Amino acid sequence: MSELVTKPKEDLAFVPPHVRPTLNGKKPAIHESAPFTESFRLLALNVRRLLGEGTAWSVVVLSARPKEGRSTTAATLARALSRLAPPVVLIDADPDGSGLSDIVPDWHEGEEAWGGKPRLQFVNPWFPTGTPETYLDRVQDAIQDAVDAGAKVVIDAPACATSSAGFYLATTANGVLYVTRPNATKDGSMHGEVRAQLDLLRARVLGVVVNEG
Amino acid sequence: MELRDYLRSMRRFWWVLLACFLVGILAAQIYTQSTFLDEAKASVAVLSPLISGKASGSTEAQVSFDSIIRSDALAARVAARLHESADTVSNNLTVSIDSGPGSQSTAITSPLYIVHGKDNGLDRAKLLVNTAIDEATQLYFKINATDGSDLKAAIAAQRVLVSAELDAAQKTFDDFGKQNNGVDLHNRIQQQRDVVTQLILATQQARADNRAVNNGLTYGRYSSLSSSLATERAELNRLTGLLSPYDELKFQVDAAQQREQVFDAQEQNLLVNTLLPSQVQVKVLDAAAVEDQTLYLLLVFGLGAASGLVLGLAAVYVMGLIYRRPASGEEVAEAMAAPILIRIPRVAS
Repeated sequence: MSELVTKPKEDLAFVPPHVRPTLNGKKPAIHESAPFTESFRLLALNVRRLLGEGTAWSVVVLSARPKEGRSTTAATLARALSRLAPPVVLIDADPDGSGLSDIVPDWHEGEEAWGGKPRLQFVNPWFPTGTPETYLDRVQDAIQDAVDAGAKVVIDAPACATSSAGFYLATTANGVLYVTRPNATKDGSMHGEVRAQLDLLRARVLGVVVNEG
Repeated sequence: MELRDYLRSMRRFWWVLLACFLVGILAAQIYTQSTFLDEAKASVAVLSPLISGKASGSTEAQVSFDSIIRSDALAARVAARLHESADTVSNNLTVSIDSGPGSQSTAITSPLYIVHGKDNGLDRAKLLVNTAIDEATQLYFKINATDGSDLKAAIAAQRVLVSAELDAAQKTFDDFGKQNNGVDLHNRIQQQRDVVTQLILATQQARADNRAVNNGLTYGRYSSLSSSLATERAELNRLTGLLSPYDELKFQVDAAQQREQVFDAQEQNLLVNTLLPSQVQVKVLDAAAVEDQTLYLLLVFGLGAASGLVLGLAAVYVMGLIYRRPASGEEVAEAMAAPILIRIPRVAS
């Protein structure tokens, strides 16, 4: 099982980030436009203000359905946070595979280290086989290791409609960011149901990220 | 669909609601234009058949004024005068009975009939009502007028018998009074009692005087009074004995008089029905006048507006179901009870 983990737990902070190969050499779908970057800088500031500036914490990025911009939000937030308050660990917690692997690869080229450590690490506790319970344990371990190492953790959780893992992770994370893409779904009642479930689990919803892209 | 979603649909499809509301108003307008007829009404007081008919001894069925107004016979007569079809007249003529405020009695002596007429144009509506009342009055009188000749003859024949009985009873009674000196017997008896009472007192006084004085003069007076008292007492007894046959004869006379009075009343009532002109039995209180139809128009337009509103609400519901709109960012934030932290802008590809 350990072979499948992208980095050993005991040396989380110093292992180069695991980068999955880009699909067919496709360019990463990351945007560098000023409004885009500035919006995430603002989000990073908001999250840092809400969860604390000097301490380690974790935030789960959730959405009701797939394709709402959850991975883009998680990755870009992690990058903005890494420039604002390093170190930051970005964890891909989507067992079906998120879009992070298409976004992250090029970021580390030319990134300056912070105190001899990478500002941003991408952890992917993926595994091709195994049970969901084992997978969630791996993710929880990765989160705990990162927090123990004093990092801010951004978790890209699977969509609520496809997996309950997001709810599970929300119970242990310090906050939840809810991503929504207007006009993506006609079932508006789902948002209320997600909120009700999060309340039931006593998760803290920090705010909503509206993806207009 | 939850109420919140429905209210959201209403905000989104407000124009559908407005359109349906306007359609309702428009439909009411079209309905009014296509069906509206000017209306006139008149009130007619009619002597109740209970008074003019059955109560007077008539054995014929009585037809009420409102039945005549509703009848085809009247419609035919009015239609002939106005050169319209009988069906049109029948449909446009209605009648109601106004029994007056607070009146609960079914035996109304003069019910007030309100005759309504509708037609194109106020003048034609008035003409319809006036013509209908005119024809109905004639028809009413024609139908309800009793042919009282037979009844009258029968009453006259019986009245002769009753009069003869009365005469015979009266003669017997008078003869009895004369023969027995008992005319006005009850007064006669009362007078005789007074006489006897006075004689008793005088006799007692004379006897007391005789005891006190005890001479021949006082005794003679006492003796004379005693004799008179005995005579008057005998007369009182005789009169009292006549009382029973006297009362019987008097009763027969009274009964005969009452029977004669009943026949007199029947004759008079018969005159009411046979001789009273229709102008007396049927009186037009208010001639045909234009009736205010504001309430009717308000009702029609109100119904149209209400129907349009209901239709609009239903249409909004259906459209809300069909054209379900994805939730906006604000709506998601509201559902999540959390603030919008950022909006990720659209990036040109």
